[in-house]
Amino acid sequence: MTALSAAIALALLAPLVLIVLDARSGGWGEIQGVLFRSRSVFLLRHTVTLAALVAGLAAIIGTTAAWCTERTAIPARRVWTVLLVAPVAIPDFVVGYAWHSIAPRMNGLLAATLVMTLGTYPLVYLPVAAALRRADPAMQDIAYSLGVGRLRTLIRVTLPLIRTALLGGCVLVVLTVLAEYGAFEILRYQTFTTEIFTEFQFEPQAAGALSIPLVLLGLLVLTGDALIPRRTVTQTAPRRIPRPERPRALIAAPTLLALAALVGLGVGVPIGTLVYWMAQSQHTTLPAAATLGSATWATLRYSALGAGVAVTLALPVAMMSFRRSSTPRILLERSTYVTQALPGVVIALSLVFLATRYLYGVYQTSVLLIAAYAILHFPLALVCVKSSVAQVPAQLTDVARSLGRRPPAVFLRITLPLLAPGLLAGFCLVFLTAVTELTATLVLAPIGVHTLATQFWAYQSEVAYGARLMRS
Amino acid sequence: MSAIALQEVSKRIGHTDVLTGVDLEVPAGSLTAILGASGSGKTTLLRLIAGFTQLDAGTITIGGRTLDDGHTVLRPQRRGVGYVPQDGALFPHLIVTANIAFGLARTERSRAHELLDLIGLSDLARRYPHQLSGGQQQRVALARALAIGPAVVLLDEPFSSLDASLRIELRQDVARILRESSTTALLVTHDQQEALSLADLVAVLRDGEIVQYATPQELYTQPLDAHLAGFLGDANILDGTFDDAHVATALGRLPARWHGEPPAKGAPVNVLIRPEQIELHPATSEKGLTGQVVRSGYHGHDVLLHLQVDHQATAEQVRARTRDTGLSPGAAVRLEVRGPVRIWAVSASC
Repeated sequence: MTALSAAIALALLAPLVLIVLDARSGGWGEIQGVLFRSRSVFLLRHTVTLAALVAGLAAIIGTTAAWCTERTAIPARRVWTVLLVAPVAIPDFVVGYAWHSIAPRMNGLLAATLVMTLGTYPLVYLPVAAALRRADPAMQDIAYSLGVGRLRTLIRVTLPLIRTALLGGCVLVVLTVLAEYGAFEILRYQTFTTEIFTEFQFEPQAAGALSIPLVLLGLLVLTGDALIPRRTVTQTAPRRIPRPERPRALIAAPTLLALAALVGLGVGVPIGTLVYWMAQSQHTTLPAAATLGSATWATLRYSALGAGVAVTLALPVAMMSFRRSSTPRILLERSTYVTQALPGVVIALSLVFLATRYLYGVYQTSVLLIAAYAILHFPLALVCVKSSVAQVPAQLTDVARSLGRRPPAVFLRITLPLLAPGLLAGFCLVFLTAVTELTATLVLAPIGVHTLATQFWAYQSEVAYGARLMRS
Repeated sequence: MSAIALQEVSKRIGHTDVLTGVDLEVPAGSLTAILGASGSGKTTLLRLIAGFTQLDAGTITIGGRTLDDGHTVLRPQRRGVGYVPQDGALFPHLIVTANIAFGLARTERSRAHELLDLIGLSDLARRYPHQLSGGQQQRVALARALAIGPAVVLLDEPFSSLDASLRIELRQDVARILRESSTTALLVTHDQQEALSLADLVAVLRDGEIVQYATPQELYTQPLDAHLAGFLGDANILDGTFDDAHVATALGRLPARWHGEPPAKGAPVNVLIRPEQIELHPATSEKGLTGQVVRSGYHGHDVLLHLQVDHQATAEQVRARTRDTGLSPGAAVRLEVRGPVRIWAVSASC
């Protein structure tokens, strides 16, 4: 299992090496020319400012929303949890398009912050809500009983309990902002990623060199994340955690209004805009129904294959690190998370480099695209699979074996059923993310293959081009 | 015939010698307790017998069949050893009957219902583990282990996560179920009450070795050393001088019992006198020695008195149990020790 995991980790880390090779192939002078110019400082400032703003806002919004759904008894709690997560399913370039079409003159930074915050706060909401659900409300009660007030209990008890989840969520937000291309292109806000993409179309050598500071930024964030001390929380036996009491109407009404506003901005605006444009636009600019059908099929197929590969690769890594944890195994597992620091555009570039230099046979085939999806979303799959592996303590399989079942039977009847929700969740999450993937798909989709994302992209470019023509 | 036999079993985990040459023979049909403090190697011993880990030296046999001798290691699924862990470890995705029937062939599934009757939970057959109380979970875990008709059932601190009243009730229940199914059982515990009240035989495990293996009565009255005496229950440890099968103590000259070679005449020894061995008489009586009550602690079923014996050079107090609640501090009593007392040569005590 360890050897297999090591092979998987190596494959996942290959883009990191490839991108350095790619940059070097352009020559040192090229790297210097691209990196050490005032444009780089501008891009760095733009990227970091936006990432910091979005992370801060997403942390506040995500945590508050999690508190509302987990610790207050708002009506229709389950519906809210779904609605609050929904923005994750809407690609940021669609949201960017929606806001841009509503307010075309909005300032680049403001628009980018708005769009990214609305799109990424679920990345904070999800882990924090999970942490709150796990955290025993008795802790709060104990703090109250010790004479500590509500606010101080929040600061001294509850926030430390969710701190790891909160920071983890923020790291994801920052990495998402670093990797985003489509939304910023539409909103005309330049970051490293948009610059890399532009350079890739006109001067591929420069794109490789530009990737390096972006990857370094990502690695910096990940290193910071790794340095956060984490306490292992011992899982107690399953028990019933009492639901919070229903809040008074006075408190409930503003809470509901705020949540409704959040969902309205995050989900309502983009969907409403899309529906409006669909109804308004001339039929000639809409893609033909036939290509829409083939694009849907291509999207579903590639995303499902990518998700399948990602989950399959995640299973041995998760089992290895959980079952027999030792320092090398933990390091091995952690190393696979490094791909999080690699934006889609960088992974795509590295795969193009790999194919054009060493494996010409796979260039312009779906293999590269599926590989990119699997590498890009591997950490998502691993997180899901790992959390479900934790649901199968070694003791359960021990007991199952002592009852006379052989390991394959134990795997089928105990391990797999208990893992299934995690595997399925991992598959769905990767699938949903891959369905809306734009950047890597634009670079890697074989000629003639369109996914829904690239179709939308082509459509919005046409509309934008038309609008520009009309204005001039 | 012994159901489980361990010979010279040793196990090292990391850099720690967890077990060093454990010998143990468990008679068929008995309930044997392994009593030890935490870290004494109890759980490792059970895991070795169940086959979840392998030993480094020695042999383990069940009913004459070798399970593990360092070369041939029978896998857990072939051992026929039922295992009931501390928290039950029920399969969370299976209902109660499916949990119990897990180890059964399809044709024997009906046996699950017999076992449900045995543990008295027939009404809860279709519940999931998280819908059961802690005690119910443990009963189901036991039924699941018994379902496969195991040669031996291993119980790893099965009562420790339950509250006191439930624990006593479940203990009696488990003992009854094991007796009714006439299964050999090995119970690991750190609770001396549990070991003494439940088991036919008790093996005391200390630092990876079995230091004493005896019936509860023998263990209680004849413990190997003063440390163990105190671990098993309230103990007065007095100084004494050995003298021809007797020992001279602050409480008079008493008949002595010892382990191994008798001490030399006149040698200093430690003497164990259990509080219930001290009989109290009214101060007006002629029997025993005079003393007075220093402190009294009420326990409901009896009273524990701290007594000071008169006309003795030592300031040592002794503890005694009585049902007489009328004795308050300062009251004069007479005390007399009943039965033989356990002695150890001074060097052997710790």
